[in-house]
Amino acid sequence: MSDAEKIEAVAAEYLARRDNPAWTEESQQALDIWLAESTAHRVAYLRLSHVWQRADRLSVLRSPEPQVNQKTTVAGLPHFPTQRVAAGLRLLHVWQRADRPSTPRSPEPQAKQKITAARAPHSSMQRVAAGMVVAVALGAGWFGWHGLNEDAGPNVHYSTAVGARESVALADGSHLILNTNTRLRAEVGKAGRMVWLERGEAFFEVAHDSSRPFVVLAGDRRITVLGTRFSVHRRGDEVDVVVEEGRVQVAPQLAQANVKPMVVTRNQKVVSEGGNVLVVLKPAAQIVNELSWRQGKLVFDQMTLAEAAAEFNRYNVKKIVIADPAVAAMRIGGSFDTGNVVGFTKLLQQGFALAVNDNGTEIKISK
Amino acid sequence: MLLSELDHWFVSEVLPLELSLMRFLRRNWREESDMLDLRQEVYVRIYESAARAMPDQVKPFVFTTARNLLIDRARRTQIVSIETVADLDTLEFGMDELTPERHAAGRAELRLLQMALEALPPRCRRVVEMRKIEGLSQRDVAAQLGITEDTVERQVANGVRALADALLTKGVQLKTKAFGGALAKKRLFS
Repeated sequence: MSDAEKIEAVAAEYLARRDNPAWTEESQQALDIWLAESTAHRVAYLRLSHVWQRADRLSVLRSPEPQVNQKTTVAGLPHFPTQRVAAGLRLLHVWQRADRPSTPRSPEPQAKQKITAARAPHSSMQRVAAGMVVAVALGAGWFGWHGLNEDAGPNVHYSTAVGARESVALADGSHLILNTNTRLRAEVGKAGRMVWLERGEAFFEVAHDSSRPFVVLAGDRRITVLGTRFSVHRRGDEVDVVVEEGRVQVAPQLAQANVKPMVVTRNQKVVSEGGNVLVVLKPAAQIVNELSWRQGKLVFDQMTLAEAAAEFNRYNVKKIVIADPAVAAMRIGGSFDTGNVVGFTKLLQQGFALAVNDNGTEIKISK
Repeated sequence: MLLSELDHWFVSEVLPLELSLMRFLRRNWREESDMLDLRQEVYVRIYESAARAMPDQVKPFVFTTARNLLIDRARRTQIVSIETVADLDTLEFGMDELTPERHAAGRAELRLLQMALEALPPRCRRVVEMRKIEGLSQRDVAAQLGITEDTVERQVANGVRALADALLTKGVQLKTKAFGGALAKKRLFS
């Protein structure tokens, strides 16, 4: 139980005891002391007693017939509410009755109505309109994008083949670039914006709209943003997020007690797999390199040959294979077009004196 | 408890904003389990600050207080758990925070209360109905239901908390739109 819940429970206890005529002077003193102890106590009590007082208005629903001798079942499921299941007509009826000056027990609500009217001199029509606004706002915010299907937009699938890159504009003005071998589904609705990254990598330039959170679901990660630029790369369960601008939150898709959500800011990269999350602060230049695929470039800066080969392999059907660990660990730098494996391997041949053996389906690199 | 002017102000001006406040907090702070503590802390700050100087405009005051609290919390916790910390510093208030507050009045208010009542667990609901609709004392409720006064008291305590959540936090207003609207119209034209 949270601190606030404990305080609320005590406040409710006091209130319920005070609601009983058996309430004594001593009890009142105890309550006064408790209330004076902290503002938290006072506001909790004010909140509940306000509501309890508000509920007095229910008295207009009292039936004219005396209820005293009516039987109530032990289960406590009484006749009263069930009679009011179709509350609409009955309520209207009761109210008309309550509006008549002669009706007993109605002066209190009428008095309250007057106060309200004096404070906010709106016409009923204006109030109706205001009511609609609440409802609309609630639809968008309260149930949110995870609730109401009717607020969800059309579901659109996008995918790219190996080596391809594609730019996509969403209905909300957000802009996506899909990298090689990527598949995602986007749903932009009134209430929210969702993207499921099924595989691959995409860069997101999210149009700012604080009323509609933009959420990317990738593997078991949930990435939430308002408006920013970042990329998400999914390799099975491993999900990397690179932020170019703004801030995003990365959290497990299902809340887990042991995994805290993490906020990733500009020039940071977060690598996560299952419960393991690693945040790396990178120089801006390196972030630019990591995102260079958007221009169809691979930029390697002191990267091992194995990593570089793996990068190329994402974009090409004919894969580079490096069997020798010593070769795999060599570090290289440079900038290449993603499809230019030939140029890359030629450089390895000339610059590093490595053997390149292209058998038609694979390119083997060795000493 | 005698209500001071400050208490009155808090109850009539701040509490009606609870629904918007909770939406604001939920939108900007991910940990659902923190919600009640956050709400309490916002209320405490508001109350104590208003005790020193009454703000001119309640709404901006409430949401600025809430935002500052989130920022303070975010800075304190190293591992930040904010949904949209994203732009907390430059957080913009949404439509909800900027529109003037609506007070449910008359029939709409009664309908709200009724819906909140109907959402209570059966026994709790029955106790509250007997207290508030039928106007029986706790002792009479206990006698009629054949339960102890302590049990009645406990049900009242549970009931008032649930009513507060339904009326202030959860905004049962949603479903009353059509009904309240129809009633209001009928009244206008009759």
